Amino acid sequence: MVFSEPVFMFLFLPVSLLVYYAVPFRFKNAVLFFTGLLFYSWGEPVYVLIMVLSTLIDYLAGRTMDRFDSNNRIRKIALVISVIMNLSLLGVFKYSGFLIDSVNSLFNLSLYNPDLPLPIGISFFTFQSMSYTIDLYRRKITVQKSFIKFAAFVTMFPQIVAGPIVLYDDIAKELEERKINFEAVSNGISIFICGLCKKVLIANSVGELWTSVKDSDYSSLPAATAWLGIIAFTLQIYFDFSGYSDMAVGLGKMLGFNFPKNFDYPYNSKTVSDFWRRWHMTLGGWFKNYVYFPLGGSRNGKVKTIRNLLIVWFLTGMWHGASWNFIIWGVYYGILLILEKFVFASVIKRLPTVITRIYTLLAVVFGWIIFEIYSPALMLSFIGSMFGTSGILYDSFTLNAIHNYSLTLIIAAITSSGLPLRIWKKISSGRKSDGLCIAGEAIGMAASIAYLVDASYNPFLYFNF
Amino acid sequence: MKTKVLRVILFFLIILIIPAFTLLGEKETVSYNENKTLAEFPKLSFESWKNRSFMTGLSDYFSDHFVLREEFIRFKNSIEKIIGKNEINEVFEINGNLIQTFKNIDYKLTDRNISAMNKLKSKNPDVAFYFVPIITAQEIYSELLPAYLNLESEADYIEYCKSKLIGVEITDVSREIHDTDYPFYKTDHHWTTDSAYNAYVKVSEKLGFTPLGTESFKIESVSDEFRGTLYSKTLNEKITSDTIKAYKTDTEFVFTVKEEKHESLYFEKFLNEKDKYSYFLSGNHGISSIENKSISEKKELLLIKDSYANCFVPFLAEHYSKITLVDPRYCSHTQIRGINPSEYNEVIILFNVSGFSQEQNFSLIELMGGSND
Repeated sequence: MVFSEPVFMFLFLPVSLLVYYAVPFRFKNAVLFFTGLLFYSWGEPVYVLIMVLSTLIDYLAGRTMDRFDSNNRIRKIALVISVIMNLSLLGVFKYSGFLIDSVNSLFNLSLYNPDLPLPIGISFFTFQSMSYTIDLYRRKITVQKSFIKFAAFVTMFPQIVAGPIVLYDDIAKELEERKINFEAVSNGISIFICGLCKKVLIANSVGELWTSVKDSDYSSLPAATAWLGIIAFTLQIYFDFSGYSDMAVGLGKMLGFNFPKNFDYPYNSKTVSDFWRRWHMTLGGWFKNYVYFPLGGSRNGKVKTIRNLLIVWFLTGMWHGASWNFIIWGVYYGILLILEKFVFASVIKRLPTVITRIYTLLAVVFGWIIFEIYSPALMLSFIGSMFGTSGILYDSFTLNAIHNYSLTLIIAAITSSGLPLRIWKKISSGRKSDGLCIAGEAIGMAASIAYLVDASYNPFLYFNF
Repeated sequence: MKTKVLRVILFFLIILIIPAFTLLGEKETVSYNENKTLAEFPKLSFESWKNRSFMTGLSDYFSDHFVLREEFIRFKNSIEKIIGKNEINEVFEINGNLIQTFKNIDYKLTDRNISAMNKLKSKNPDVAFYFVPIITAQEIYSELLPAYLNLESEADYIEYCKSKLIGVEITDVSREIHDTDYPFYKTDHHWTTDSAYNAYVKVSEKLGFTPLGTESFKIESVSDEFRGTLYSKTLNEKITSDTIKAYKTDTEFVFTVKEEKHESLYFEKFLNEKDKYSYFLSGNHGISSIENKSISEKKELLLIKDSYANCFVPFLAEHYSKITLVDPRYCSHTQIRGINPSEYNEVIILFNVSGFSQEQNFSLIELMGGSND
């Protein structure tokens, strides 16, 4: 189930919220656990068992560490079991097919590929559960003795499918005690509707444009169409993913949780490293905390720092999907970050912000080409057509697309900079403007419902990662 | 604080009222506009849960019966208009008409279809073959449709076909359609009976008989509540509904389809249904035939056709003792093989241009007169 789906918004959500609000506080976590299970099994009626099993193992690993608090060996074994179990789940379900295919093509073998379907959200919930056992081992957090509370943390429906990657530490306090009042629920509703509009009204719409460009023949693709297409995708992926994160944060607030922010206007970034501090922030934070720092971070000299960065970005790329293009995409960013850190740091400082912002945006846009087009040959062909290898600047498709999508693209681009919100805040500060907000949200929600009802086109991009 | 409470109340009202009306409201079983049966509530069982058919079923059920579904879709369409998308499912609104556009003429398929026609003609050298391509509304309004669409001219397309045909004579009725006052339905992709009449006059000249003048017919408006396929695609209620006309005479016909005989070419019952164009010949059939009792000498026509012919054929039927209608889109190979063009005085192939350029099954006609072993 995804949030932008009528069955979620008009069956699952109202029923879950009503039950959740109706029961006394001590049962609320249980409601979260069971609604989470229902939500997850809606998409994965069989794999839900795997998720429950992994939750159970992580819970038991936590209890074991606590029980043998003074025995470091046992604590370590418990941690290793939890980490190995989570990584093997990822390995088997996400990477085994890719690995077997790669080995087969490298050594000309024909090993059997079981082609396991990818359980939804596996990359998210394994990372979340691991944060618990690792932090517990590091004594950053205290043990969760209640299985229901721990299971509520892993399975609660707002974040199980597509993040943000909520660390146990982020919501440990709220699992024990949280305030659910009109203020929080009202804020949650605003954020949820905002995310819904981002996903349904903008991402889905510009996504249609990108789909038709992506499906065309790149050797005869006019330059303007190629640019238009990749700009559409650049906006699509931001509005899709950040819209989904907003919906998750909003739902969290309706339930009394404060999830961490996942996006901070990434397309305003001044450098690529700035971009990665603002894009999918919870994933970046996770890799920093659990991979980069343990490897030594940047404390052991240039060579080791470069090695560590490359490892982290190789893994970041791989996390996004079991395919070579994601690995190339990750390493591409690794190299850019290394160059920014060690080669161009002083140059970047001296350049005017406008220039570095353009450089960052272009770097990101080219990144999305690697991200989206799986085959390296097609990737190059697409980049070629952006620079006119087809010999055509534009055709009737381009004009048609400009006519149909330019307003949406412009609105999307301006919105992605955060400017409209800043202006709105300035105008409305100190005034009673909440009534106007409600009217705006009502229109946005009605429009989103209209598009959802109409849409046969409602793919969700981050499902496979 | 007051506004916050208001927001919460409003939000919950919306997410409660919509499912209440969707699940408890009165249900339709068929969507005429989409030409489909609406989903039924799925049965919950261990199996349907495990293979997710329950989930997809519930999702379909919920979207199909969504409260105020068509109103929401209309709302979406008006938003699209505001943000500059003046096309809904490839349909444009021009001067109170809905116009379907066809952006991709398939020349490969066209070549294949024309070569099938040529081959059939070469196998039947003694029979006269006529190809009557019918332009679509897009051609009439081509100058008013956005230039950036760069739509291909259907006149050029007809010229292209002409240059490829061998032994088959093309009869271009475009001029006659252009000259008709109400050439196409405003809410449907078909041409009107008026256009068909004017085309009939032109075709008659070509075939060498005198067409009946309008005074020979009793022209009736059989329905003025026709909302056709283009309405279904856009749900645009601002376009007034269309009038369907029938040009009737007292001639007695026997219309045979699937071994069932009917005494009329017109089927009143469809006028009460959504698909009112099926008033003519009760819609499309693989093979059907029309016999005219008043003509004693044997004069037979083979008409290979699409739905555009349905309102056109009653005119021709006045002049032939028998017309066999073959719609290759709905024929089996066996049926097609059973048709032998050499048994007919003439063969007419009547298709609308865009349909012809995209019709995968057309080349089946090559099988005609072949053996069934």
